Amino acid sequence: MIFSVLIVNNRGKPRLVKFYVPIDEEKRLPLVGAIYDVVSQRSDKMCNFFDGNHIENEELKKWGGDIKFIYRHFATLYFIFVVDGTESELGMIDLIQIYVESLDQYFENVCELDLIFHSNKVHQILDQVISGGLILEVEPQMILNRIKEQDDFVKQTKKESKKKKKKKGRK
Amino acid sequence: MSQTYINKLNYQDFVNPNKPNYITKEFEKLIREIGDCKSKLDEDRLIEQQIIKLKKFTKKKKIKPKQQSELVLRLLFCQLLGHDVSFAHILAINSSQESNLFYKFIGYLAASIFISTNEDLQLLMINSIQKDLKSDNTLAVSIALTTITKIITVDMIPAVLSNVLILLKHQEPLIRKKALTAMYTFLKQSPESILKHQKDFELMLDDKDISVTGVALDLFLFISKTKPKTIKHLVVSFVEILNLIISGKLPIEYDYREIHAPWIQIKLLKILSYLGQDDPNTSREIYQVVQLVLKESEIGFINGIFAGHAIMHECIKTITKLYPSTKLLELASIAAGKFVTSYSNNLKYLGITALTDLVLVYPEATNKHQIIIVDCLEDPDETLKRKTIELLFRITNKSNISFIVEKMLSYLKTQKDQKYKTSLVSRILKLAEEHGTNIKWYILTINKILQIFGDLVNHDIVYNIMKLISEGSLLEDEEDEEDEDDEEEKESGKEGSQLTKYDGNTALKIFSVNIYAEIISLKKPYPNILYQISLWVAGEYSYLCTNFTTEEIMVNVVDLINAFYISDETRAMAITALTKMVSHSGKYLEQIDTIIQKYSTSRNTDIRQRCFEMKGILQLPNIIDNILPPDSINTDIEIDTNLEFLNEFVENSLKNGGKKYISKEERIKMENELQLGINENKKKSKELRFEAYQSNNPQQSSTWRIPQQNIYEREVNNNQISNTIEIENSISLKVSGISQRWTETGYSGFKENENQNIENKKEKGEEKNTNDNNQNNQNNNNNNNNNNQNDNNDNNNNQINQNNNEKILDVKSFRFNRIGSKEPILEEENKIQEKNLNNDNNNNITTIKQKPPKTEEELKREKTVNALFNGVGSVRTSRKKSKSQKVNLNSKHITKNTIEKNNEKVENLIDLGSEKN
Repeated sequence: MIFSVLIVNNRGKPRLVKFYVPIDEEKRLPLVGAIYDVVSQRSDKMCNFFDGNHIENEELKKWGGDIKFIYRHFATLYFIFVVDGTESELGMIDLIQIYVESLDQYFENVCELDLIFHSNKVHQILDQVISGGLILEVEPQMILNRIKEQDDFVKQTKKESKKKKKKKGRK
Repeated sequence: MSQTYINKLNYQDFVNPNKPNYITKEFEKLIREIGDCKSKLDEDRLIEQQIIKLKKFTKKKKIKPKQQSELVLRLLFCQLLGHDVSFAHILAINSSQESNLFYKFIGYLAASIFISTNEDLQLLMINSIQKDLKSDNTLAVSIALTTITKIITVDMIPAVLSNVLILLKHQEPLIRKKALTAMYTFLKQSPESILKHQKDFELMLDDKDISVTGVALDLFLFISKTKPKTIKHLVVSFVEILNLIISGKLPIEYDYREIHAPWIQIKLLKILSYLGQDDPNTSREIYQVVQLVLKESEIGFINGIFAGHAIMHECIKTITKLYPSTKLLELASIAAGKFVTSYSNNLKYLGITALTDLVLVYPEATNKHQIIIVDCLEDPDETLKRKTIELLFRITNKSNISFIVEKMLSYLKTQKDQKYKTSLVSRILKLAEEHGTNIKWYILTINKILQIFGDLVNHDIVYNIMKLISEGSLLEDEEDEEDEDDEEEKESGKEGSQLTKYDGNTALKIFSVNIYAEIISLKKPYPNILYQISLWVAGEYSYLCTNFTTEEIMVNVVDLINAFYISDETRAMAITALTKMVSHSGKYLEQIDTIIQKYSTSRNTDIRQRCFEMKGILQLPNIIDNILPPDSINTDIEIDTNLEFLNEFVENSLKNGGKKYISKEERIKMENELQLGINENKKKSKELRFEAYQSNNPQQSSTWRIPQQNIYEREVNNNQISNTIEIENSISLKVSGISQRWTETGYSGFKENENQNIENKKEKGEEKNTNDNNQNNQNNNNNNNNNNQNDNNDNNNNQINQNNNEKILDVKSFRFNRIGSKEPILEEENKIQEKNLNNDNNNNITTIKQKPPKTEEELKREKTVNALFNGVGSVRTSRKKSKSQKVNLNSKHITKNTIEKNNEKVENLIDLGSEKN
């Protein structure tokens, strides 16, 4: 399963931190920092994975021994997936690709700032791809359709509520 | 936010058309300011200010839903930057209960992020989750299910389980999938209660939508890992699904870049590998489909799609786990070869990991790729290198050991991680031990490793090497034994050594002494451990060396002793080595005198000790061969751990009124009791004390045990022992213990009377050998008393020094011959230290510790104290006698005082006693 999805920028600032296992609030950022330290020192030519031996952290030990980190580096951002032995490394690389493609299509040329302003949307899109640590959907178009469905629904309810307000006002 | 990024952002960027309308200007300003921050401090300050503002908001009684969700977003932002926003968690929960879906989304999202471990808040959420699970709106159901996966705990499962089970049959595939993920979370937390519903998951395998099946497979993956036997009957259906996928009969929307549902294929392969593990029957059912999948995945491999590679990699892993089938293993090794030979580091990495597993079941797998694998060690990628090292450890055999060890060492030189380096060095050493065929190669390799990484090496290796050289057993013969415990080896090795052939061994010794003599001659700052081995070998076998003469080696060793880069421990060993060389060859260098002079005043007691030993030995040409016989490591030495030779001495001192030894445990016990007694009877103490001293009777038995005192000890054995001459003649001397004690007390003597000491020794010469043991013992006794009471009597001191010199001589051979076995020495030393302590405490404690006799029992003890005290005093020197009498007088005086003053001034009494002493 997938334990965690992280987006960190080049300077180590977290942009999205999501854990699929219980973890205390104060232990999250130190762990993210430790992972960033390893990732940031790797050149782009190196392979996109490394295993849990590279990081010493008590939380990681709680999750079991067989932990892998799969990451990709896009412009200013690192996308890091923390997974266990049952996930395929290459499969995860493609999953990151799918997630980033979905973001890119939704925001039309995604940039770091989008992730800050639309943090709720970024989370929602991720929830469509992964849920409870399991892969839910791998087709970017399907993911986008779902999100748009939600957006449309929200807009509808807003319009309805406005109409109601107007009606109330007239009364 | 990154500085570079901020530079690109001007204000226009913030009037970004993409900016959602729910971001207020205030929040926007905060984001911009945080982006401008140059240090973490500035940022923290800003966030603190923001949090204070937010706290004010949360105290308001009524907040509009819109404002509330905006606040929650801000909180999310603050939390992301690592600040505590627990004060506002309730806002998120409130927001999740809104009827407007937009606010509900934000509320649930924030709740799932904020409260993953806080049980109280989790319980608060349960209500709204239960409500939303029953909702008609699929979006609300979906978001509730997502939240369940993040915040559920074991206690909460029953509350939602029935609802989730119903949702497994929901018409929307998305809801079915999410319900399955929720079930997965339950399954992980309490497997037993969920496995009852296994039938429900099994139905999901036949779902119309293959992506739902895909999620259901995750549940079976979990079960196959923990309880594979419970789902063996499903193997057929898994194989069917896999066949269906690769036949391409699925709708196109499930393809990812022309590959059919790659993630589902991977999951199926994983499950099958767990089910087929160690099960030949199940494995046979799987062989065919795995072969098919492997063949199909090759198409993906050619197109360079990661997902295709992933399936192929998974196939290799599955094949290694299944019950071995030669045909499949061959296919797997070909496939792994494709990975390893690829240009992409990712694929190489996976190829190496796959091979690491594969070689265990199919050792031939790496035959074709060895060179490529070794080349991976030169890649800049650290992760790849570490994996390669793991693989190399597994493929090392007798034919490639020298090549691989060489490569590993060159990799080690570039390694910076100290911890990893240490573990690797020890593993390489083990590897060389296991697979080394040539003993000379082994010694050379170890030397190479020690030269560079000597500081990281476990010291056991030193003993191994010494043993190897001295016994000369070939590595092949010992291969099986090497794995055993080192200590066992040493013991069994000693017995076996007598059987080994000496002809071949001498050649090995010549070879090694030549190497090590050269290392000493190089005079480079190598690690101490290498020098220690070299010095030992040179010391033992210098007479065999062909490349250097003994004099040359001796000169080099002398230079080494003076070198700044060796530790004191090594220096001490060098001095011993020098002694051995002198005694073996009978040749003497002038420099040795200067060495002895220089280092007999060394701060390090060990060096000092060895200097004196050397000096002593060199003055005894008659027995020098007996003390340090050549090749003595193979001579078996019996160690008398009971120190029986001391029995006579002990008996004598007991007869003369000494006190019996009380073991440490007993002593502690008694002291504890005593302490208790003090506390309970503090008030009564004066009266009791008075009685105790009154009944003071000097003629009572002297061997009484007295709790308050630490007494000079020794367990009595009936065996009588011989005098010093006998001890010296048998090299397996057991006197060691005593000398240690003597050297300690003796050193103080040296410092004060060094010149005298040297003179004395010269005068006495060989007479020492004939000294009677009993005499020594008496001297010991005197010496102790004197030292402890700090009475520096000149005559006595002279005697002490004599004793010291003799004892050092007695023990030297013991020391030299026992490099390999440390523990017996330690034991003896401990015993002797204990003894010393007892002696030291003996006199002082009698007066100080007598204070608290209280009960009648204590009273009796008190009597015996005094009795003993007198007894001891009478045995000792006359001055000692008068001392003890004085003490007795004191105590009488004290008791009179106590009668008069009756219930006062206990402390006074103690003070008096200690003062007079």
